[in-house]
Amino acid sequence: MAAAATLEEAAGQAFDNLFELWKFGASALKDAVTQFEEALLPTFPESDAVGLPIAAWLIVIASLAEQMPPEAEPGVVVVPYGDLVAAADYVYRICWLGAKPTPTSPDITTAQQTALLLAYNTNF
Amino acid sequence: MSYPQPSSNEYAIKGVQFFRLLTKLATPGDIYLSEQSGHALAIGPDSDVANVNVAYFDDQAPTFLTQTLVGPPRSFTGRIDARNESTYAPSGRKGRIMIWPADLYDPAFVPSNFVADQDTLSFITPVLDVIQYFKPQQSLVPARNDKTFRFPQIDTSEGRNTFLILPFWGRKYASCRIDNQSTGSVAWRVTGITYYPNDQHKATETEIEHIDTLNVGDNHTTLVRAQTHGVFDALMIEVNVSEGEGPTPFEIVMSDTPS
Repeated sequence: MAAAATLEEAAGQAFDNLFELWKFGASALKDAVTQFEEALLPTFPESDAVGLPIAAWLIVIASLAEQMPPEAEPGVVVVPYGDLVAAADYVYRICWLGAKPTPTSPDITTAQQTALLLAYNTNF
Repeated sequence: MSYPQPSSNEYAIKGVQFFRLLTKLATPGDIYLSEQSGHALAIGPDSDVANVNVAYFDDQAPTFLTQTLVGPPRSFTGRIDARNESTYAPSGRKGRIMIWPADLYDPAFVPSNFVADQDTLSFITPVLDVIQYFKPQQSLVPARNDKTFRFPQIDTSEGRNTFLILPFWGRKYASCRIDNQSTGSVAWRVTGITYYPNDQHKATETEIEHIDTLNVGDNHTTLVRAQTHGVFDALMIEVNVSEGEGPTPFEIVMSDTPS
């Protein structure tokens, strides 16, 4: 799938893109989700009140990725379908939250939005 | 998401026995934090969101994070730790309780028969209502209020379809009544919506009832029953006035109780 141009578009593609990684088997999904949250943790420090909601999501998705089973043997899908659905759901919500800052809801800066979209396109 | 976020700290410090998180959803990604441990969590009476995920600190979980789901049929009574002095793994972020809607919401949804530059589409913003208790609770029955939405007047410009999307998570029953007080006939459709993430702005649409012609002066009630029609994330009301003008008031009453 082509790279997402916006975070709203990324949210819409989340399930399809993560499904492709899950279908590929091995540790593809676990690795991608882990790299996604690790890339974003420095961008959303918990000392920064502006980015705190996304920082909270990173706690949740990092915990999920950590508990996904590792590769059992090459090419074997080992991540339960429920974990795929949860991971896609979290990515969907993170992208939506990043896409919709409003004057009354300054939950993300432009630089953080750019970093979020880059992390999405790099890993998914 | 309301900003700054509602904080449970003030309620705990002042000795209030509960913190009520009552806010409108701005995006599907809204997530709320509580730095205070509690003794129970339940859905509040005015919530449109039926199911809420709660993540809390648990020493025995591999990443110290455990989740539970609360909804109208099931609250959570028991100690729920925030543990600000500890950190979750592997993120290394400090302990706190995180609360977010488990129900799916897509504000980018566009009905399949929506005509851009002609029709109008409005979403009723969903309300999230969650109560965190700071004192032990014997048991909780987190029943939600029935909700009534009244629309005394809508845009009935000739030939224009007006779409309204109302949150319907977990509801078992709805009564949707329209009264044609305009000077022309009215078409009326009630559709159940089930969201799924996609980049085409689609959702699964299940038609419940379609009335092609509601004559001047007539009224009609569409009943939505979970046992008959299934359960939906949202109800979509579509009204079209073929000619003429005037009010076409309608009222939707929804409930968690099957009727």
